[in-house]
Amino acid sequence: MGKFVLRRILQLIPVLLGVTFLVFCIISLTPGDPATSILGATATPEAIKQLNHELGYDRPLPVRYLDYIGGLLRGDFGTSYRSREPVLKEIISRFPTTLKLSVAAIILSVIIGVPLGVLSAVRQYSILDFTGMITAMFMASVPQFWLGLMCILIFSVKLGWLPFIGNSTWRHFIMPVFTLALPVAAKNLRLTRTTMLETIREDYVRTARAKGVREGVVIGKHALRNALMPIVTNVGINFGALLGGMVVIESVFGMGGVGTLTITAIRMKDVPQVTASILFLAFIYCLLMLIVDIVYAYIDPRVKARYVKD
Amino acid sequence: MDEAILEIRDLHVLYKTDLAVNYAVNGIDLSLRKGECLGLVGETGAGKTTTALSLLRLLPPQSGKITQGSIRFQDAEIMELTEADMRLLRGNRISMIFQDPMTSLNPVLKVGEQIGEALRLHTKGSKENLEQRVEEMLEMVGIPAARKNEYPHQFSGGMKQRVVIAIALSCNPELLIADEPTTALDVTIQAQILDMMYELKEKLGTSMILITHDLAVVAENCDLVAIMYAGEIIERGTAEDLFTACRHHPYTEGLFNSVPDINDRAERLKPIDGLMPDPADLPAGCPFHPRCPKRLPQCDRKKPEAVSFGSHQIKCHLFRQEEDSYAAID
Ligand SMILES: Nc1ncnc2c1ncn2[C@@H]1O[C@H](COP(=O)(O)OP(=O)(O)O)[C@@H](O)[C@H]1O
Ligand SMILES: [Mg+2]
Repeated sequence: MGKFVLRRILQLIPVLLGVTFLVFCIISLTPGDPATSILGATATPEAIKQLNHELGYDRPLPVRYLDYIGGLLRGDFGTSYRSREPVLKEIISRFPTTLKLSVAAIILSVIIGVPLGVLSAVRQYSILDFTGMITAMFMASVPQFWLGLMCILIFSVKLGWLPFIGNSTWRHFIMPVFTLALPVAAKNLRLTRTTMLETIREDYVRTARAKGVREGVVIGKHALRNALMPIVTNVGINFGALLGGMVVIESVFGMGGVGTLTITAIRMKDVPQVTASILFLAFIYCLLMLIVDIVYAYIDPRVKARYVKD
Repeated sequence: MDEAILEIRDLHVLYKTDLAVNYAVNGIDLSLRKGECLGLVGETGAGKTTTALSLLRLLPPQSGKITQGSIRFQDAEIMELTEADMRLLRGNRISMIFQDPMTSLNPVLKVGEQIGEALRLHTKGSKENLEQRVEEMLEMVGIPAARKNEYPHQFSGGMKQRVVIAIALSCNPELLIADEPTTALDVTIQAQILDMMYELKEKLGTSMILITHDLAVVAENCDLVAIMYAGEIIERGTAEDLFTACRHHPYTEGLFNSVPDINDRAERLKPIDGLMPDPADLPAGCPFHPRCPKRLPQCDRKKPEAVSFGSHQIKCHLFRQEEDSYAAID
């Protein structure tokens, strides 16, 4: 198992290098230059040229990229064109908000989605199942920004229950977390229902019943544990997607997180900031996938056996 | 003579699916005394598994339904027990061994835990006591006790079935239902498993219903035999009746003719040309008449009554109760 984890971590290096290359090139090849974005359209060409030279942006792309990689190898993630501060500093100051939002949303999505999915499967075709499926379908198909705006409209504007700009108190987190969680909860519900419908018909579930095991234990211990694999995968993937798509929610609710940081940086053509932010998100995504694989091994001894052999 | 421990009367079971209503069991009677072994024989689709699941009330809840009949087990009427009382019977006083050992064990739980589960539910005792019982059960079915911490995927098919047998016998059930316990196994270990099961049953004094489509297995192990066709028992008797009497239901004759060699157990039954009727669309009269080589004019209109010759009972128009003789018409 340890060997497996080590190998997976080593595999991260080429993946992350690829990410830096792609992001660096794409951002650099888009039209415009950082100095124009910073100084504005009214600045003189000389001033723009001067600033671009100061930022090192007038050098050819391959030279800049190699310079960047050289910095990475020394542990230097670059300096933001805009703020002239180390990019890592910005990321680290913004990350807690993003992390809190995504972790809370993922946990909430599991707490809502999985039990409802199990109930839907156990009571297939009941009113509960029917309502659950319709709601889930709705939640999974509406755009998140709309969901967020509706929340603000109802709970902040109309009812005045919850604040919505900033991230100063935990109450600021309630609406964004729900907005992020509900679509994922809907996906969890549908997936849990589908896999549970299969597992509750498995022979070993019947064996458990034939032993005289209580129905609740049959479902929770014998069926659910076997249905967990696809659910864990889904949670992992959605966690990643949540981080990537965070910008929408951060914008709607006016919370400064890594998402808004990245979007601003893209607009400003702040190449080091964009590359570092995306590199950071990619790293977390890969880490999540590794955690998913490790969790697999704990859920299913057959998967563990595969890892232990080599 | 001992009281019957199991008495099934006029049991009817159907499955309702989106497409059709399958009449899987159509009015069967069975009874079993303590220590006896009943062989329930018939082709695939005859309704054997359905009958067995009905005894434990474990029919698939979405589709299966017992529509009529009574099942008395000892002094309890199974049809009238609450779900909680039913759980006290399952795995404790009535156990079942399922057809396919490859899928009957939970892949994510240790085998020791799976054996211990029934024990924990139905017996009192300390944790150490329980562990010790689990180890005893494993040794009893011929698996080293140390392997209790392994998972099903580390076991071969034959060993999995041994584990399933250990689970079924762990609480010393009064009735053991074995549904084709060796069909899914290699021919070489089928005999081993059956012998072991039979020995354990004798040792514990358990009554048993052995479901099979293999007459050789029945001849070796069973006291009573019931032949099932399209959800009905068309012939029944002691093993002696079935294997020595000269009068048989034409379907049973077909079964005998289809056994090429008593040692070749791998042979699937294909007794007579044609197929078992569709349970959603059963023929009128005798369900076997479309395939019957000795069919009479009334066979497709009138259901035959059971005709008894002592303990031997046949449901066929070829026989008549009064004359007590073979009334073949030719
Ligand atoms: N879950 C089910 N839904 C619908 N029909 C079923 C179901 N299980 C069994 N049947 C039907 O009931 C009949 C009897 O099946 P079964 O009891 O499994 O027979 P056997 O065990 O003798 O092979 C078959 O025709 C089968 O198609
Ligand atoms: Mg069967």
